[in-house]
Amino acid sequence: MNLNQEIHTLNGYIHNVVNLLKYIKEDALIDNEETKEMLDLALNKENEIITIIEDLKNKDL
Amino acid sequence: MVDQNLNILLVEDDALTAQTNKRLLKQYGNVLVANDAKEAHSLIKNHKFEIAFFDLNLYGELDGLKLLTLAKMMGIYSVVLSGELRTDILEESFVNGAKDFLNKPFNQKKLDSVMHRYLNFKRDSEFEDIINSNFITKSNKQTEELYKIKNLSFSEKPIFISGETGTGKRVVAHIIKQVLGFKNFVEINCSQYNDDLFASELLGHKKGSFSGAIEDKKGLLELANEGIIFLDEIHSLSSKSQKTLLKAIEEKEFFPVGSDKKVKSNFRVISATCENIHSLVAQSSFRQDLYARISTFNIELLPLRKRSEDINLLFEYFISKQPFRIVIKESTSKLLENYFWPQNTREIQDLVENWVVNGHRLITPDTLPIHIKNNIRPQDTIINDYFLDMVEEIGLTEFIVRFKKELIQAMIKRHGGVMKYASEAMKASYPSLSDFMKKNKNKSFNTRSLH
Repeated sequence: MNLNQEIHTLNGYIHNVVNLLKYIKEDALIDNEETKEMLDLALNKENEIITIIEDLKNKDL
Repeated sequence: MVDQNLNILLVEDDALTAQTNKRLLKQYGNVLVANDAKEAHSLIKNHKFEIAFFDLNLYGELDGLKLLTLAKMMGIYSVVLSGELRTDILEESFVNGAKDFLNKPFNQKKLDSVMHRYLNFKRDSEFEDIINSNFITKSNKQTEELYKIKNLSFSEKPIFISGETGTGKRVVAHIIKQVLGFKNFVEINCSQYNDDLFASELLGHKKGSFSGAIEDKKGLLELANEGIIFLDEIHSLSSKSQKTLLKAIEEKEFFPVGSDKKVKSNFRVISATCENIHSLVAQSSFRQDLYARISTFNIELLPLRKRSEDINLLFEYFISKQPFRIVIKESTSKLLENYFWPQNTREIQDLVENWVVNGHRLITPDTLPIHIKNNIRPQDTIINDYFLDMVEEIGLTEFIVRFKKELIQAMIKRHGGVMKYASEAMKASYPSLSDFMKKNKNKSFNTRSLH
């Protein structure tokens, strides 16, 4: 795998995990309040992480 | 979000990506997932999909382009999922039948855009199918007119269809009904009713309201609720009936004849005429306010003489409907193409049925009615012995002036006494006609009338 393919794989994986977290929240699968809080924090990071990956993809590595 | 219940195929080899994308797609319908080319091939062969999402990066196992070709053959709208897909592969995908692409990973918003484009494509294809299976034409001008129907769903305003007899106005009204997706469609031929009967048909009546009203009857406007009322030959309505109709259209509520109970109805109006409605309005025989109310959208159907490329096509169509094969000789085809078909499509249909009834299988020029064979037109009588005598009598210059003057006068009369409409109809300049008439106003001719 070259660097681009690696970033692409990471990007896809992160999107999938973010979607997974959204579905966990949407389906109300978590009872524990602390875990719910962590889930919200993780989801709040979505835009920041996606922007970083997009930047990374556009850099001449 | 688009409210649809589609059958969707997702071809994706990464299990986690497949599951997350499946979840995104599920809101649009039923999603089946194929993890490899073999599975995708089998699903395409055994299911009816409307749209498919193909990840072409299936780790070398899959020749995705072949799948695209298969999907195209099966009438599936294909979307290529591209991550770091090369431009050349993407281009080749489109050559092999892909209709759209989506960069991976994708979110809801990007998916919505793709689905929106798909639904537009689907709408266009369905529209073309309806047009092609109901109206035979290859005339660009006529097709352009028919394509106006596509956007009629964006409004609830009335539609006005104009065209000579036999051009397919009723067919177009039914096409509109189909395209707009109305189940409720009622129609009335306005020429068949006097004022009282028209009011009773349109508004309904109460039992005992007139002799013969033996029971309550719902009017067509009420029956057209949440649907369409098609008013054919609307020009034939009397002034009184026009007023009745206008009031009902404006208010969308009315009293059935003999009833004091108001009825509300939400209907869309399509009306049609074979007459020149502008002239009728100019002559005050058709209400200006009613015309304005019913003609928000206009569809004009061309007579066959203005789309002669359709004549042979229409013969082929009507012949294909017959129980046995009829062959038209080439020499006959030319005569058919040259004839001016005053009754338009209906005349072709009648002629073909006549051949069937008379057992004609091979259509030669001698099989044709004499007026078609000899291409006899009313306007051919312009140059006749009477005119030739007159030219000899008064000379060409005076004949031409007189002919032009009488022609203009006749056209002005035909167009309600309005020279502006007459000049438009004659495709002539208004100032030059006006000038000519002024110059020759008092010119007297010492010969018999041209009429």
